[in-house]
Amino acid sequence: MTSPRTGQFIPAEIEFPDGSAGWGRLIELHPGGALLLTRPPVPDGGEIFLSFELEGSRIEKLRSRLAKRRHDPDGYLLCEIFFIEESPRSEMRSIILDMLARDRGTMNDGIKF
Amino acid sequence: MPVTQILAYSERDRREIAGILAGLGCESSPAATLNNATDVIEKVRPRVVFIAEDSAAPPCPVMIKELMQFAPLVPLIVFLRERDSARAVEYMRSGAFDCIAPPWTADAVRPVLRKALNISGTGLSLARPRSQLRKKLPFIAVLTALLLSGAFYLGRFHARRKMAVVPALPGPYSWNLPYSHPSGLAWDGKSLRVSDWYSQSVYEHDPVAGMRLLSVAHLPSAVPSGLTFGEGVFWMAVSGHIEKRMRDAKLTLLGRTRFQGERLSGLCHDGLYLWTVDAKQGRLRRHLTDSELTVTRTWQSPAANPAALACGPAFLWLADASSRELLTLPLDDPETVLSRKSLPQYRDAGLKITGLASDGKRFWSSAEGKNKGMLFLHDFSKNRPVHTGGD
Repeated sequence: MTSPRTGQFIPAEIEFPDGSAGWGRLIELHPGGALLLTRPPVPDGGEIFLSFELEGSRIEKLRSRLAKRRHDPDGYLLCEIFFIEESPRSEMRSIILDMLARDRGTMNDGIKF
Repeated sequence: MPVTQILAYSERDRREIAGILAGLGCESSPAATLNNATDVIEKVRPRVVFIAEDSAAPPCPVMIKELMQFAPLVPLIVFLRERDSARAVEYMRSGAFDCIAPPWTADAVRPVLRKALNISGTGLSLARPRSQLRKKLPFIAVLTALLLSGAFYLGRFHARRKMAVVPALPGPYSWNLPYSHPSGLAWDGKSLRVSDWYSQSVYEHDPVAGMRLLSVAHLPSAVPSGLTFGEGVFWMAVSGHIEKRMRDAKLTLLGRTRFQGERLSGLCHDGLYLWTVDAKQGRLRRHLTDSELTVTRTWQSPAANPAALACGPAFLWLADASSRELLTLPLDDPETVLSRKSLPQYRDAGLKITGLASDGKRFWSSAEGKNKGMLFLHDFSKNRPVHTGGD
């Protein structure tokens, strides 16, 4: 089964604990976290704030924890992040469920109930 | 050696970026303007295009959109003047592959260039690569199954909620205006503005409060024949020109540009571009909002007698005075008619449509004829018949 995909890799603004800002793209997204592609430098500190749009809804300064990071062959950083706050997670869950429900004709391939 | 293209309005930027790219082993073809870039992109066939942000250039989202028309699969990378994450994300949402903040150095460009070049072909390897995600696959599979198993019930709940009865629009759907020669109509996000050529004025009406008149701006030196709103300003057709006016009490004049066609019968702003329709030449034109209102493209108007124009982020709506229909056209191919909706209010030959405006859901048109001016509300989304009422 292929996972549902948005039309583009969602661009996201990143705010780091030292006050500096950056940007990247969400390669994967689920209510609990995401896989973020960005470029160095990414300061140490563990926590970042993510802002992005999902289906017209603006998710603003979502507090997240940087779990793992690794360089990809091109020099970008792939960062695994987990969202800390509960209420934006619920909102995202609801938006993702809406999207899945809308697309369920194609997304249900391979899923047995 | 990969071929790249540089679009930079400043010669200094062109030299600086070309130097960086040469150091990274790339050939580059410089273009000094957007028109140069779009002229040569199909000949040069670059693997990547670099755009330098510049206040002398059109806004980056416009340049990105224009270049994507000619080379939709070529990564576009923007050199920013300042490290601004909000602007970077805005450009990426417009279609840029990525952005590079200052200082513009080979180290900053290298990873972006590599990724941009790498996405242009299918990767080959002898072994299936292990990704970070694969370690989490069982967790994600369980989560996905849980999400999808709930999706059916939630989807049904949401669908039922959306099908709930929508409150009917309050009538009436037409109003007699206190002036007789409306010539243009614009929705500015809060109120409807109607220009009147005879009184040389622009009237502001409240559509929520029964089209109550809120203000009047008198323009002693202008005879307005068309009106639209975009980028926070009004664009007004006046005697073969297009005027840019502030959204203040006097509609202060900001600039004036000669219209390139013969008879401007409608204009609108789609959020990025200004559109005009020429009833004499039968042409739709898309303009940059620079001081020359540079025409980026021209199409044949699919309306036999285009009388008014409105647009949104995805569509153009063109009123055809011959067939008395409202045509829906896609922004990227406005010679194709997606739908036609009848405008029965204009069956009376004495009434002619002079303006069109939309807030995305509702359409209003202004009409002139029989010594009266009228405003109509059309509700196509619900196929609601429009009742004529009083004011």
